[in-house]
Amino acid sequence: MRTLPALLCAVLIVVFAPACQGQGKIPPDQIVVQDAWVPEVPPVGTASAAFMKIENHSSINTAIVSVESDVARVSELHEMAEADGMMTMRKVQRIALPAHGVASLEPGGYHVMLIDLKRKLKVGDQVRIKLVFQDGSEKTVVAPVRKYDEGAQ
Amino acid sequence: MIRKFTLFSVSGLVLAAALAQGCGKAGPEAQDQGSGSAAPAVAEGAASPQGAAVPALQKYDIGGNFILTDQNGHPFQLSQLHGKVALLYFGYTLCPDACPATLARLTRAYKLLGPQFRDDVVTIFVSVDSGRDKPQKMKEYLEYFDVNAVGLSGTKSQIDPVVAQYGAKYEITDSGSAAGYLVNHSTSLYLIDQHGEVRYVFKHKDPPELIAAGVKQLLPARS
Repeated sequence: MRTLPALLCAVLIVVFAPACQGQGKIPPDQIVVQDAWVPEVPPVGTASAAFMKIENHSSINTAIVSVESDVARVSELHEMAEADGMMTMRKVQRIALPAHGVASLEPGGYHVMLIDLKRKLKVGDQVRIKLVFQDGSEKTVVAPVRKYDEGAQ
Repeated sequence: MIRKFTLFSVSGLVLAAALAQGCGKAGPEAQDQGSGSAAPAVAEGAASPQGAAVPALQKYDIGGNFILTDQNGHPFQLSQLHGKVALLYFGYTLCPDACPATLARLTRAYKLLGPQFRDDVVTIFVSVDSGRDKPQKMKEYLEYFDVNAVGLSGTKSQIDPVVAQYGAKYEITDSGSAAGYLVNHSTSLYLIDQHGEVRYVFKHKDPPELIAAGVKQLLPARS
C-alpha cells in the first residue's frame, strides 16, 4: 500500500511539471495586435516595412521568431537604431514579447521588413502578415497600406 | 495506514499546487531584452499649430560645390542652383523607414511654404548606395514625392568625397538579409543658401514646420 501514495505523487508531479516550464502555447486571444500599418512606397521600391503594437496578455514570455506576408517574397524582422550619428538597420532573429508586455514595431525601432514586393503597394490595400512566436503560437494580422505621415518621424 | 496514505496524498497535492503556482511565471528563458518595446524614445518635435521655433541660421565649415550625376544621367553641379535654396540629404532607395519618412516630411514642408516658392527650393537626394541606385531608379523613386527633387548618384569614389565634405557618413553592412547589403547612413538634412553655403543642419526628428521656417528665412518676401 505504500507504493500507491508514492505513485500518486509521481503521477501528480509528472502531470504538472511540463506545463510549469512556461512552454505552453499562448491562446490566440491573449495576443492582441493594434495599429498595424504598412507604408506606401514609390512604385519602383522593392521593399517596405510593417509597423504594429503587439500585446501579450498571457503569463508566458515569448518572442516573434519569424514572419511571413502575402505581399513579399521574404519577410524578416529588423531593428533600426541611431548610433554613431547614423541610422542603422540590421536583421534580427527575434523580437522579445514578454509576459504581460508589449512589443512596439514603429519607425526608428523594430519593424517587419517586407522584401521583394510581389505587387505595388497602394494606399487602401490590405497586407496579410503572419507572426510566428517562440511558444509555437501564430497570429495573422491584416495591415492597411497608408502614406508615411508627413508630420511624424 | 490510512493516515500515511492521507499524508502522502496531501503532500502530493500540496506539491502539485506549489508547482502549479510556479506555472505562468517567467520561465527559465526569461528574456533580457528589456520591456520588449525596444523602439528608441520618441523625441517630441517643437512643432505647434502656430509653427515651430525658428532655427538660427549659421555659418558652417562643411559643404561646398561638387559634381555628381543627376536622375537624367547628366552631370550636375551644386553651383548650378545658384540663386535657389537647397535641402540636401544622403540616403538610398531601399531604405524602408528613414528616407521615405524624411521625404514625407519634406513634402509637408513644401506645402507649408506654398506653391509660389516651389521652384525656389530644390531637394537634393544623394544616394550612398552606388551599387544599386542608378539615375533611372532615382528618377522613378523621387517622382513619388512632391519635393522638386534632384536625385544624384555616382560611383563610390565619386560619392565618398561629397559625403566627407558635408560631414556625413554611411557604411555598407551585411546582416544576412535577403534584401542584400543594407546601408547605415547619417540622417542630417543640410539647408544650403543661394550662394551654396550650408546655413543649418536639421536632425532626423525635426518637424516639417521647423524645416519650412528655416527655408523661409532665406527666401525673398513674396505674397
